[in-house]
Amino acid sequence: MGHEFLMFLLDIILWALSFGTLSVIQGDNARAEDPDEQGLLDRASRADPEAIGALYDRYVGRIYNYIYHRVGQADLAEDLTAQVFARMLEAIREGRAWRTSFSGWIYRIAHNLVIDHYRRRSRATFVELEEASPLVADGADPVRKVEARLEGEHLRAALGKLTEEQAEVIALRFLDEFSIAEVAAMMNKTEGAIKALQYRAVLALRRVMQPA
Amino acid sequence: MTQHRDDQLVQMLNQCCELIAAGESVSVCLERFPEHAADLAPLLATAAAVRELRPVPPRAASVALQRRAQFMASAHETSLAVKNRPIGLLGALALWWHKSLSGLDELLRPRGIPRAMPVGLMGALVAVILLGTLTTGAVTASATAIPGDPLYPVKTLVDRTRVLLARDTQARLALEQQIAGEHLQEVRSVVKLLRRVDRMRFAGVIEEIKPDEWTVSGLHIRILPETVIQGVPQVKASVSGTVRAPGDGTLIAVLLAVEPMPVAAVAPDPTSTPTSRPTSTPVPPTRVSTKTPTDTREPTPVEKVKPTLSPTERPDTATPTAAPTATRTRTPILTKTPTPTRRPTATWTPWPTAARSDPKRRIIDWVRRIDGSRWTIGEITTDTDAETEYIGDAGVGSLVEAELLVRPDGSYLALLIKELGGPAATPELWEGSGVVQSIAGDRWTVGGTVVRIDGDTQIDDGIQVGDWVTVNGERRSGGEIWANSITKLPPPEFRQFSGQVESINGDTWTVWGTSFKVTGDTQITGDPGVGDYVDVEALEFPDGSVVATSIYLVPDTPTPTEVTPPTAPPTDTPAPPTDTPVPPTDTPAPPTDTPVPPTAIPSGAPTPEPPSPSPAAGDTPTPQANPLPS
Repeated sequence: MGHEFLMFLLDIILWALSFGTLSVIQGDNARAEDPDEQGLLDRASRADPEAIGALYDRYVGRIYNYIYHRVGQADLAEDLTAQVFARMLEAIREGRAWRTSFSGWIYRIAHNLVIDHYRRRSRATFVELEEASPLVADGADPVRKVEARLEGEHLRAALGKLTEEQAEVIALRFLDEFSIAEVAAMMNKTEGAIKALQYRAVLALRRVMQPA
Repeated sequence: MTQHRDDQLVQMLNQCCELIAAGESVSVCLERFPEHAADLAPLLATAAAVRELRPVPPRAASVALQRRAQFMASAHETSLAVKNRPIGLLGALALWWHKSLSGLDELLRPRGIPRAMPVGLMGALVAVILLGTLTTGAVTASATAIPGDPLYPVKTLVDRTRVLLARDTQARLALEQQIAGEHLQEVRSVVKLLRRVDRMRFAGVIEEIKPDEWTVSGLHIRILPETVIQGVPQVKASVSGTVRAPGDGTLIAVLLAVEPMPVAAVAPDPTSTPTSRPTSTPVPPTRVSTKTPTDTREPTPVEKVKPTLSPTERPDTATPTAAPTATRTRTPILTKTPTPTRRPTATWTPWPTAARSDPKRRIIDWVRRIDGSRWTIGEITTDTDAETEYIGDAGVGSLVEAELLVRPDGSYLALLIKELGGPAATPELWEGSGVVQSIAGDRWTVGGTVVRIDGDTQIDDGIQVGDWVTVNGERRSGGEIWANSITKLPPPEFRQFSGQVESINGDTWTVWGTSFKVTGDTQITGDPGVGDYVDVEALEFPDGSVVATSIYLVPDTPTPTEVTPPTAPPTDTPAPPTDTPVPPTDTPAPPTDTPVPPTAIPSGAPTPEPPSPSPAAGDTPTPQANPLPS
């Protein structure tokens, strides 16, 4: 009962997060693409496969990292990353691709897919941590890997208890390593507002992670 | 007061975050703000804990490659779909004008101009151009246009027209030289103005070759891994192609086609001192020089152009001198067990009018085929006759120097075939298909195999990384594969099917009547065997072959009789799990409404997916069932 109620709450938060971030990561003021990318974007928006491929190569790693940080599973991150770029193609095909900032646009798709995944998962199935996907043997210390996973999951859970803006700024600043200016552009806020938000977010995260 | 303190902490926290991101330690940051160290320390520790999550395990290379191939296949489909999309009236008009200009431009290119072009057609073309451009003053206005200007296409068109109108060969050559010089000047202007131009044609002479940069007629052109280089690059060789200007004052090569150098130019003159830079005289377009044999019309004494290659030199270091002709052999066929017939036989038909003093060509290349009296040397097919002189014992695979008589109809008669090197190893025919994984100069990686190209390799237009291609070539000594042709294939189709494994025979599986291959890259989840139900995702290639990308063992295949109602008393779960179980053959729906299919590869462990309490309408549970801790 308590477990399901918690998941229901998480569902609500994630819904709010999706809508909030839709308005947060606005294309108008998002990260400015470098000049070299502009020609690529023009051609990609006209469905030039070469340019689309170049954009894919340029962004697939970043998007994968962005998603991995939020879901913590390589396979799932791969699937969601592929879906992000599938949606990009779909948008190009339907003539509703990015208007201004490509990076803001593609990150927003990634963000929405992650939210979508969590929403779907919370409805579909509940799996305890012990049933999580197996660790892949890669020579690293398995004990350390388990510990790292637990820490990661604990932190991810804590992030889920922040407001959507706080969680987003924490992720963008400390996981994805965007600068204050970039985050400000992506979240359509001033740099000062982002600094204040960052402070409040870290403070809140600290409180959430402290044992009761 | 508190507000002021918070404001200070906001700034200090951010400064510390920036410092830590730049590599400083937490203690250094705290030392900067000793009076606030107690407040900052726990915040920085929290931020550091988040950063601990930052490292992401590297993506599996095979998966990344497969995903990219799937994406590119979809990208090509998208491109086709967009091209075929109906457009509005304005769009149609714009497209018509663009195509008209492009079409005329193509039509008027020197290589496509028939020598005896009907005067009427020429007049009609000129009239169209004059009406379309002169009346608007566009011709005058375009005179100073450079690439990137709206009127530059008009200028290009006018240039072509000028070449077309010059009916005299010499005048045409001079005009083409002038235009080539203008093109070089335009490229220089683009560089100087830091202008962005996606594509510019140019022609020049190679002055210096570095691994990542060539100097061509004074222009420094960057060579990237994706740059397509045709021919054998050599200093002093003529080169034409396309470059792009990213807008930072540099030039990046897109395509560089190096023209073969005349033999006389290849042979080093011991008395001359090589000069690294040519003069500033505009360089004639290379196409022109190869189309008109004016520089080879004079008989060249054999002694003057003795071959300089030693018999041990490799074929790729030999300088191909075969100029492209209109009768190129698409796929030279190599005989595995060559039985060279060097002497003319009864099939030989003497050429009645061939005079030994006619224009000659000299080539150094490998004998690819001997068919009676006809030899294929490199890309040149030549006749031999009773007077053909043979030096050495050349056969298929030999490196030879051949002196060829150019007949009036453009065909060749060999006067001399001299063996320079025997076949180091019998080349084997090689054919393979796969994804173009990289194009780095003359080295292409196709389906994990590195193949090399040269100026004779026939490559379909528009091939790029991610495309599916078939390579026909030969494996030469040392195991290197040299491509004779690279043909673009339509992208493979994504397929998804489910069913019982009917047979497993080596790497060939049959599921529900469909046979497919399982490769090392196939992701197999679980340990499926004959009789098990599996979901399969695969790629179907144009030749009909099917290769599985993933096989997912459907766990604990339920049957209707195994379904039991929940034994636990009903809880407040909105819908008890009494739904009809999903049939085992149900293909998992893609997790989102994205229509592009090849992204939903089942992954993770075969975790049984419990029945969903109450899926919303139209909300299909994701097939991945990737767990996430609560």
